[in-house]
Amino acid sequence: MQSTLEPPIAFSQLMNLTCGGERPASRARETMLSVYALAIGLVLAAVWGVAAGSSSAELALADLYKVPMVILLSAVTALPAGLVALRLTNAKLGGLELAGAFATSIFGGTLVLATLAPLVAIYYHTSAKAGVPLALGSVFTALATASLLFARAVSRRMPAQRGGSLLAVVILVAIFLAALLQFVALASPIIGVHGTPLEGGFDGLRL
Amino acid sequence: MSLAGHDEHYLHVVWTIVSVVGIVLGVALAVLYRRAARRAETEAIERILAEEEDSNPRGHHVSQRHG
Repeated sequence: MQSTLEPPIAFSQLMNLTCGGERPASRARETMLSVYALAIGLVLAAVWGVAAGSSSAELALADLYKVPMVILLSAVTALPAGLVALRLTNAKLGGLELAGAFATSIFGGTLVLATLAPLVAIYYHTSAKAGVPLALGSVFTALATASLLFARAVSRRMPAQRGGSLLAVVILVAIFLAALLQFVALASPIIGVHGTPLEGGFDGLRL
Repeated sequence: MSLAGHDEHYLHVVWTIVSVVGIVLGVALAVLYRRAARRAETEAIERILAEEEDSNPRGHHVSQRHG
């Protein structure tokens, strides 16, 4: 049941926080906002999933849960490493603050994915050349956006002594990407039926 | 596509297991949200009581004396 004394978490509040606005006053509200950010992010990822898998109804339905699941599992795989890095570097940033910044950055990244979803869908159906590259491009754009938002959120939370905190950000993002690569391979096919270079996981990369 | 030499069936089982873990995580996040919402409500009540106490210290004194 939603509190009658505290106003419910609003989407505008989440957008404001993602764009560098004021953080909630209490830890409880910050936890609520972080979970809300992750939940909305997963819904937005599902929207992109439907667009990327729109070559067949079966794949679109499967992507509805595959894409959010891949993002959730990658985030949960990476978070402990970020928290350990935070402690080992003796950074002043709290674990909840790091998790909150991570959740809002995931929201920001998936917002980019959902925004590009119609373009991905239309190109996938109308262009043999640009369909798959555009879908992959939207993923890389979202990842870059999320990483920048994450670094900015942590920097704003720690105006001074930000070295250790930013190291935790780098470690967290690196492990998130490594986990994402393998979860995508495990969940494949996600983008279309012809496959992408990412479907072979780390072993499929031509280094 | 085979990963690390494993067959389709093995990978399907692994994906099913990680999906179940993901669903459990989703439920855990929902529980976390509800607990945080309850804590936020408690904090709001405490804040309101403290504000009333500050604005009416005599009333609080009397209520403390008479339970």
